[in-house]
Amino acid sequence: MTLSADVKKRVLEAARLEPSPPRKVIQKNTALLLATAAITLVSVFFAFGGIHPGERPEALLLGTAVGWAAIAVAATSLALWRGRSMLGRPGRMLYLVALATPFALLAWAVIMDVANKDSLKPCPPVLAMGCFAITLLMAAWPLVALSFARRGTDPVHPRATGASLGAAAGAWASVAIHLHCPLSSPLHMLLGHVLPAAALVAIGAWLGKRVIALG
Amino acid sequence: MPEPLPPPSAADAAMQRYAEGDDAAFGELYDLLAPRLYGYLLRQTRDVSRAEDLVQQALLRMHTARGRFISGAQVTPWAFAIARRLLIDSLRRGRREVLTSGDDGGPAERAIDPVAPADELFQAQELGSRIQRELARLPETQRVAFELIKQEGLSIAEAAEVLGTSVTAVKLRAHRAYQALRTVLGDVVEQGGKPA
Repeated sequence: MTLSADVKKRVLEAARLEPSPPRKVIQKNTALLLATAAITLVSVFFAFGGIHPGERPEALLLGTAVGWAAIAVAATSLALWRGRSMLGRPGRMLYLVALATPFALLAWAVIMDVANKDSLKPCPPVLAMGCFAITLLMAAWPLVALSFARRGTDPVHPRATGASLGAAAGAWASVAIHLHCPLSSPLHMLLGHVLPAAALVAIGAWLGKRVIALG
Repeated sequence: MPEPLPPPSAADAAMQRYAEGDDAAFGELYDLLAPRLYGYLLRQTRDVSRAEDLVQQALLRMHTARGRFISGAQVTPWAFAIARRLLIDSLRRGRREVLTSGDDGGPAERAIDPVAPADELFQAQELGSRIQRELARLPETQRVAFELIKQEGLSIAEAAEVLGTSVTAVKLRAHRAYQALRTVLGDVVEQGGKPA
């Protein structure tokens, strides 16, 4: 049983009628998207006042920021880098990145907190809502941009890809909110600085099915 | 140590040119991939028009995403993954009933030499039907891994990409499928491929 010649005609005609952009155009658009993502995150960060060390010791401020930045770099490279494969990393690994990133952020924050003995200043949970909202705001466009950079490319595990991109965007926003917010109690860090990254994992998975999926 | 990358195939080269903007390469890509995708989809659906429709959709998805094709990537696993996704979605929508077993002239039967003696033809048909039935009984993950490697001729690494899992997992699934088939069809295997 061979494929009818008519199918080829139909496919070539459909492709001719609806041309798709070649790689150079896509690369340029992707670079622009990613640049806007970075600019947006930094702009929102400075719009809310930029760095506020408060009473935090320098070691706590920088130690947490550097550790979280390392987690963000790892999450971003694992989520974005596909090597020479159109299908990227196995789904389980992407889900692992998505789920492990918020836990890693929290674990590092606790380690730094214990090491610096600075954690026991309580703060009202309502303050965490502000940080939660700012973190989501900082990460929103980067996540959308990352998802559109991968639009229509993943036929196998788009939700996992989206979730891992959400974790990456969330981790970068967590770094920024940590530099901005002077509060460092564990509960506040959890609710205001780390929980948004977990929320972004869920949002990323949702976007993955709608934007990244191919098929 | 990661496995060395295989040399680029003609399809990879055609997709590469198409991604870079050479529109004429799409016809070549079609000629290289469409028959394989069609064979796979026909085996899964046993419905000519549905398989043709899915081939068309898969090729057009590749056309739409051509600018995002990674330089140096292999196009075959990607194409099979798209075809498989479209197939799953199509089955989920449940437009038509899909036959996964039976003796109505499935792919195994179609591969039989039509000028073979009648008894051989009958035996081969029996064997084909039996293999199809046993394959249908296997867990989905094992069956798909086995089919991609043994029926569609994908390498283990390519099958792993299509299924979004690791090479080790695919090896294990295909091996388990093979073992299960061997257990059930052992009598056939021991009699040199003739059904009991």
